[in-house]
Amino acid sequence: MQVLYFIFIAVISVLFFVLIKNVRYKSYISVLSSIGNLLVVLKIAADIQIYGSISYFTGTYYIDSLSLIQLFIITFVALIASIYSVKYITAEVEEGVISSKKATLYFILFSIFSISMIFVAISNNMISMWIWLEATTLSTAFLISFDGSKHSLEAAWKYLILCSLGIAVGLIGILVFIYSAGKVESANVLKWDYLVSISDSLDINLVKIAFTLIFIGLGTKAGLAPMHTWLPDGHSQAPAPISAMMSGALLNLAMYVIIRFYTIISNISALKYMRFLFTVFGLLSLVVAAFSMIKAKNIKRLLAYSSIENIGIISIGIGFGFFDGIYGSLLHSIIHAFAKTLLFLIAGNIIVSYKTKNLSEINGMIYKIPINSVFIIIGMLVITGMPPFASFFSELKILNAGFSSNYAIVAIITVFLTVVVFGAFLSHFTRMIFFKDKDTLPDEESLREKETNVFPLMLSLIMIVLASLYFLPFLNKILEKATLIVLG
Amino acid sequence: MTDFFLAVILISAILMSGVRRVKLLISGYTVQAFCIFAISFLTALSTNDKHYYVISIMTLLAKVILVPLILTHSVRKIKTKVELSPVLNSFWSYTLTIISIALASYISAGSGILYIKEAISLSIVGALLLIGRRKALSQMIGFLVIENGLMLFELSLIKLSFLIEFAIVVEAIILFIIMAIVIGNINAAFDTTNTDYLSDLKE
Repeated sequence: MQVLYFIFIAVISVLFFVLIKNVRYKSYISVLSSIGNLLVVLKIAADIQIYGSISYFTGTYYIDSLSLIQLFIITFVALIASIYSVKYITAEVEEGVISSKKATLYFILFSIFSISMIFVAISNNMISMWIWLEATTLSTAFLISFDGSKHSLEAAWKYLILCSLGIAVGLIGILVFIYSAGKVESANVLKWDYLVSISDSLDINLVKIAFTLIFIGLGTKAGLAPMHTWLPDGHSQAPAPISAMMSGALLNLAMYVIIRFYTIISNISALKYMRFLFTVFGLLSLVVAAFSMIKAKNIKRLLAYSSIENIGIISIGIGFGFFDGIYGSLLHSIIHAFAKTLLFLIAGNIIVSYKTKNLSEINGMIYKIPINSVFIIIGMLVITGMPPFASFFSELKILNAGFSSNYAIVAIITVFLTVVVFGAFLSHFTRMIFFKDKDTLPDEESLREKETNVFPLMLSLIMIVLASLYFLPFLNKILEKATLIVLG
Repeated sequence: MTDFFLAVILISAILMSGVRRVKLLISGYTVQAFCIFAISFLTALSTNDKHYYVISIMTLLAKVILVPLILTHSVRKIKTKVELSPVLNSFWSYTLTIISIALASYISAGSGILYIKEAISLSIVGALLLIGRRKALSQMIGFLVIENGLMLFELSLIKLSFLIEFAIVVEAIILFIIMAIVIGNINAAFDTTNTDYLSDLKE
């Protein structure tokens, strides 16, 4: 009955947000509820180690290793983001940037956002999963336009229109998918596990149309090019912790839903080739993102494009198939979540210190905010896939699968583009960190290294290191099981 | 009888695609919503299935009454009356709509699914409104038309449980309200709801 705990935690914390006046206490409660969610997920993980998969309420909710990975990502990233919010929101309220009413709205939407993501991951019923995915759009729209500036309103409007349109297309796809099972009256037809078991009797032509619609529709939410245009705007305008959650957890989650549909299709041998969608859109995302990153002018847009690039890599990995490709993709999504959280939170710190998002005005970081500089260097090494970190091995596995498939040329282009991305990061970051421009360098007063949020950065780095070294045997087991679920 | 309402839906969709007055767009939307209500109610009468009664009542309350009320209210508040220079002019909107309805009929001819033709047509007209208009309010109405199309898809393809049906409608309403609030904020910040001004975010 762990599902009920999630609802219980969310309801209690929302009640407290409304009742308590003090902003600092509200932020502590937000952290506590994130810890609570994490503990429930750890309990679920322990159960899954024993039973393999769990279902609640006669199969309305179903958790296996594949959803467990998403639950891990969501709850950990939400915990880190909520810890970051403590300082971030209280400082904004104390400086009078936002009213305490708005802070309350922030915390309420934050917990609705987290719980909707959790329910997307655990829903067995595809329509209810769609409803929760739409709920993530609804809760984040106000969070994107949180500061009420013209730019943020523009980003929120684009986000609302494009993502709701995408998700509407996705719903048509889901309806056609269900219809393809024929006139089955039972409620079972809405469930993943049932559809996987009857995958042979599905109408192949309808499934083909349905999967394409689902891929295009939900791909919008996952940020795959060419449906990605809302993403750089939305992620760059949202407050730093929300950007971190959207980039780290939400994109992965939309991808997870597509992968869930793919698990049904991968059982139908005539439709195995539909995998090419993952490769084509993944490669396109990689191309668009890599070249946009070179000429990026805004630090958060740079990171947003990097998210598109990483979702592209994950998608390509699924497209390559084989054990290695899918294993690599799943591992990459975990590491990307933590690394992108780390980078977005550092970007938040930089914006607090330098009062600008403009890359050309940020300089001399190593002299001014040395701790953050060290973190940003490590974050860059992780996100670009440098060896000691697990992201290197995930990309290696994906490429390995690529070279043994018929898509060797795609693997070669991927290698080239990751080098381009590395170059883009290096050129932007070395200038930001080591170059000293006397004209635009802010004076000591406005930079407040000691007051920046360092603890959440440490936490995400610890998670990356643990995932790269210590967790491997445990993580490996879950990843292997999840890969086998995808392979069918 | 059902055929009559389906015809009204198609005609209103064609008319809406070229209309520039926002009030007429709202009436077009309301007529469509009413037709969907009527279709589901007729289905309920003929099958005597509780499921369709619930759907028709929800449609009536949400789409025929609540949404148009809020829409008219926001039109009065924002003072948007006419779409002055749409991206697609009336001629092209009509042409594209008619071509796409013909295509939809051709594609769905052999499928035997009840209202699929109308559902596809509504989605396309909604998409045309989204793309072809500059005012945020007309774009939102485009989105609502797509939502109507989705409703027809649902009616013709599968039978969902009450709870899910209810959740989808509630979600559509919440989305609509959020859009209305964001439009209000945009109007306050920019002094216009013309989305041409929303193009400042790029490299």
